[in-house]
Amino acid sequence: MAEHGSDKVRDEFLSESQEIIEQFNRDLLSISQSSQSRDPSGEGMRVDPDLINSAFRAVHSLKGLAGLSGVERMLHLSHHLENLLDSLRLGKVALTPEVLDLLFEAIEHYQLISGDVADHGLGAGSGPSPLVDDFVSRVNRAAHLKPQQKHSSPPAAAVQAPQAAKKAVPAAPQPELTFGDFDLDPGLISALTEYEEHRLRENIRTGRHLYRIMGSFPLMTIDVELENLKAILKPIGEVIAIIPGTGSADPERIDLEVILGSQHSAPAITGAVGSTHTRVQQVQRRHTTSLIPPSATEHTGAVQIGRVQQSSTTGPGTPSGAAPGHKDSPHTMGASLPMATSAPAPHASGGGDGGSGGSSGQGNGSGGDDGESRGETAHSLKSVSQTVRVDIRKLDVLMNIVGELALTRSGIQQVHDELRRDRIRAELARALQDELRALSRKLDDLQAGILAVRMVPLSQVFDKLSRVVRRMSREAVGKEIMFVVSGGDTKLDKLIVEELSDPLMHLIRNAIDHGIEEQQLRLQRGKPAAGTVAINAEQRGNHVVIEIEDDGNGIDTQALVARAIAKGQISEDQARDMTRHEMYELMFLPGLSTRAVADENSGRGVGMDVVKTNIARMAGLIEVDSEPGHGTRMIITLPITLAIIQALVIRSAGRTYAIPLNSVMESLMLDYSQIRTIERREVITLRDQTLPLVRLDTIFGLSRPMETPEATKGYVVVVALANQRLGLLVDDLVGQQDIVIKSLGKTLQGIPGIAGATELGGQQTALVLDVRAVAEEAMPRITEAA
Amino acid sequence: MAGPMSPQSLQIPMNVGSMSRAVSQELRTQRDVLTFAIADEEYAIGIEHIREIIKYRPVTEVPRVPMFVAGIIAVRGLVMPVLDMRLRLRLRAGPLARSSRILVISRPATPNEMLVDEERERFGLIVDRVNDVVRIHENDIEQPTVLSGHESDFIEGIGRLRKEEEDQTRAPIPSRMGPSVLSAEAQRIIILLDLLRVLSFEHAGSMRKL
Repeated sequence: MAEHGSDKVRDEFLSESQEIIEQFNRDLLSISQSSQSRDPSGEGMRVDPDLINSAFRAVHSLKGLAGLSGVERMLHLSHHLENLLDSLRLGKVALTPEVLDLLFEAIEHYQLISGDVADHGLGAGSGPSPLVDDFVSRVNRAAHLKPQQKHSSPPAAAVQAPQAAKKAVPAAPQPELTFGDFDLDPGLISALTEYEEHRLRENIRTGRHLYRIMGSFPLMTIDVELENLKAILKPIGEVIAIIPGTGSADPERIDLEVILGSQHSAPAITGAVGSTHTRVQQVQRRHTTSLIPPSATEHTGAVQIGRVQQSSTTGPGTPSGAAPGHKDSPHTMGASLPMATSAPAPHASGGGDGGSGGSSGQGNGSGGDDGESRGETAHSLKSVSQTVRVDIRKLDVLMNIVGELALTRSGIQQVHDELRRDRIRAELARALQDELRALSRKLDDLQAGILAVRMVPLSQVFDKLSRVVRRMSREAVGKEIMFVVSGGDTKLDKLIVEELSDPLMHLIRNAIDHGIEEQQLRLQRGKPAAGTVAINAEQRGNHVVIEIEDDGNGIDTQALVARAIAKGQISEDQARDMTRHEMYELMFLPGLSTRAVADENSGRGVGMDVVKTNIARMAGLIEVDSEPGHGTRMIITLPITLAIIQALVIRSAGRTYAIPLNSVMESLMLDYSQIRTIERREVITLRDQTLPLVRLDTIFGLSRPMETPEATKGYVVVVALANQRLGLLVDDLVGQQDIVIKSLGKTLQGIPGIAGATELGGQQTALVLDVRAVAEEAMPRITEAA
Repeated sequence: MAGPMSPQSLQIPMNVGSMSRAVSQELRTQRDVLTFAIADEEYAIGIEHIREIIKYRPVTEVPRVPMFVAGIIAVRGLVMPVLDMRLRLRLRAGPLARSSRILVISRPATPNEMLVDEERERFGLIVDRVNDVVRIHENDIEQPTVLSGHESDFIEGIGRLRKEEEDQTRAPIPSRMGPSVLSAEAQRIIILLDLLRVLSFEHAGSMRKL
């Protein structure tokens, strides 16, 4: 029993860490993207501080999780990464491409550790690893690099908002705007964390206006309202800090003050915030003499800022000047000045002058921590309240229950049908019918609801791909790759998304390695130097289509054919009659690679067959289209969910089978006298085309009961695979039905031609056909070769 | 107590792990097993593997599987292979009887496996009749080496149930026969099956023709 407990811990650790690692990856990708769009000269790349924060939080969470689960290697790694990210967000280290690479590399390390834990249990992650140690030392080296230039470059004069130019900024290196230039209360500054202080400084440095937004929030809804407020503020500026108020008049409410940096004017901010519960005040420059006394703080009560001019208010009228802020004196300002100029001093002790300011400080000594933890709680509370991690197996269980309910419902339906025949009970039967209908509707809703829970966006996979492409394009000599991703929000069943990542990875690698030409060749061919690899997903009806496209070489069909012949997989005769698409199909034969040299990523000839098998296992199809010299497109069609599909139920030799409707084109009745043979293979002519037939009973070797007479009529179920068609000859069509496909279990999985099983009601179980496998078995060309 | 412990899942040094294994061995001097009849022989498996006992119901045949796989059934939404135990143990085939049952079992863990019970694969075993649950002492289990031939492949041991014990475990009625007059006839012989081997499809033999 003990080992079960620790399994659970391990599984939970894995699923939780995986989620955070993915988030970390997403953050890095966003950072990488936003840094590309800006000039990385001077002091490193500028990115949204929120992104760095999010990455920092992710690593911080991983650290906590690893510590909790005893995965020391991950703890170690996270601890040092956290230092690096902390330095980044405090501006102590510049975000250079090298640092970003280092961060991306961290993900690989995380994945390695997770892999070890998954394979060998939590204990596997506890020992030291030279690999991680080496990496950590590189991380530490990076974390202690000083930014090349502090603030010697003029603070982005272009960013200077026009209104801020009252005091002209001289071109001299030193006189930047600092805290001292603003009417900021040292008490307030002392309440800021080091990070917030850094951001405040950055905002001042880039010439933004500072605003205080004071609000009073009901206790019950503070999380939501604060998030709403942040969402409003985000596009117009940067939330530098959120500072809690102390006593509020109303015990049901909490007062908070948001410090915002923005280039927009006060009326614009006021207009955007536009609520009666908040007031916006612009923090004025010091030399602008303020005539109006500090505004009322009966609502904000908290941290009082010195001389603040109320520039606008959305509150009811101008508040009467109660509780005037303490007068800031030049020397208190002076106290804060050194901090500002020495920026970014390591561990600037902002808390120091909270006491010396002496003023109304109101517990500001601990205010710094308070402010931060509050900000963070708002974050974590939100995520907890909105998502729940669920083991997919639990959803499977629910799905099973729904399936059984559906069976019970059909049982009740039968009872109803009998009841109706009884004329005396007809009334009762009608009432029952109504209830049954209501039940059916709810059952359908329930089923749809559970299915919806299983759906996850494809971006989960695409993000991973982006990372690999990034690495590969750095490693690929003489190639430049543009990776274009679209449709990442398309949703698919979680199980499918999981299974997709390997095949997609492979296709993308192929595109980069074999598809995209080297730069010189591309230029000769009149193509842009950078090759494009695009992946796009979209939903079409009950399917999701994923296309992977490159503008590279295209597929050399002749080379493919030559290799297939050389390997004895097809004969030269066969090769002669092959259509272009049939030649593409050769690519999926095991052991066929068109490239002589194998490298780390691809070219070993294992892969395309595996890709195809994996996709087929998900009831999907893969098709290839290519134009020599212009590029290749792989089209993958997948069902949205594996959980429920529509199926055609048929009978053959006394057995019942279900055929997924997505592979059925049509079904028709057939008089056996219409069957012809070509080279002893049975065919019929359907709309002027020859349709090869396959008898299901022959394929599966089903014996027919002795006494049954030879049938003269049957049905043909026409199934399609890529561009081939095939008729399955069966005895009878039972009908269409929604079925839940279930695995036959580990022991029986992988029986050729069988995709799974399903329950049909009345304790009857039927096998679900894997049409693709059946067809391939029947179609000699491809299978003989395989 | 299911299955051996897997060292990887323990966060304590290996020697401590093996020590606790020894302790658990000590405690496990007796086992509860479910006994059932297949072709007039009495077999047993540990009750910890039994999930359910259901009446025989028609199974869905599956092509391309070993002969002894009768097919599949779905029990509570879970699809599982059903083994015809007569064929599996290479005994003579026999007709189904009214007393025929399907034992729903979960596959025991192999040494390096870390699965909770819900994750373990389920199987159905068709047996002729279910007898009872008995408690048997480890000391009373003989190694299968006494038997030769391929049948012993599936046997973990031969359990001997002495009459007095049987009375103790089955009914409170005092036995009139003292232990001293115990005769060979009074012993019940139970064949303990090695489930992992029974469920292993390696060397499965001929494939099923439907």
